[in-house]
Amino acid sequence: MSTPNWWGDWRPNLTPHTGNLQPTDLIECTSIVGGATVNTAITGAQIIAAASGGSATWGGITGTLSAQTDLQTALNAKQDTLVSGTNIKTVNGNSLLGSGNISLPSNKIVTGANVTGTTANTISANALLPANTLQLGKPCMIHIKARGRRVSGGSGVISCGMYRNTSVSLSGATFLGQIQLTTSTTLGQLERHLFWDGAGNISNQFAGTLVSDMINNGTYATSVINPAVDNYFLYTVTCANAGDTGQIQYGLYIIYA
Amino acid sequence: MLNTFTYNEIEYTITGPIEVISDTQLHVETDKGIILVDDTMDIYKELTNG
Repeated sequence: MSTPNWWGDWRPNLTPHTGNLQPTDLIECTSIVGGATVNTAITGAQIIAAASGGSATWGGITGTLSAQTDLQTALNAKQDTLVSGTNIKTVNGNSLLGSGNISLPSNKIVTGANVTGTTANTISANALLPANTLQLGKPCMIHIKARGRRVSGGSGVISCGMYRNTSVSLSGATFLGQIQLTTSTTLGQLERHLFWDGAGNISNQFAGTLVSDMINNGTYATSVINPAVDNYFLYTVTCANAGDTGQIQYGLYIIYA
Repeated sequence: MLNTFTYNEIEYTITGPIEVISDTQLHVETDKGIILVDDTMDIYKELTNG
């Protein structure tokens, strides 16, 4: 007996194939009705449509969303729309939503190297104030502070100073303040508040000798600064006796804008 | 006495006292703040010889 060249019944002219049912496939069934044979044709397309329930289209899907638990769970995991001050905090009253930049106070803290073997005023540490940190039209205050330390020796006064320059060099640097450690003093702190007027000048309290971190009242001094270039705060040590060793244990600045 | 000098293209006018802070360094009070002048700057010799 030869293999029939059809798939299904009554259609020996169709090309047989394997794999999924195709819309062009055709099945014919025969039944006896009233003693006579009746052929009923069923196409592959009809069977596919009946099995899938038809194609779903967005907007045409019926039912309850929560019944689709995996989709509902995924939706529940999503964050609500951000509302400033409600489900997202503000920064100093500024909304974080949208584009743009919010300037925050800058600060930097550095540690210094030992200074010894010289009586010259020597840089122990420096802190970069990057170009354009200070901006025209935006006044701010720079709080600059140093903690000087007598590392060893007690033969002479150790002076700890702060300067500003456009390079890590004391040549031409602007003096900001100084503290002196007596021969029996181990630690001392010095601080200044520099007010940037947003127009190209910077002023600080006149230099004075401090024995604590209290601000020394005195005449205000004004210096100029170019905010478009890098500036450096320089923390220095001067040992009156070259055999002593001093350092800036910590130097820092904080900008309040 | 010399009362002005230029360094790094900035002109300074000396307005106050000059303080010796080490063998090679001075504090010079100017119209642009107190400036550290050291022996690498031309003005240093003029100030110390004057």
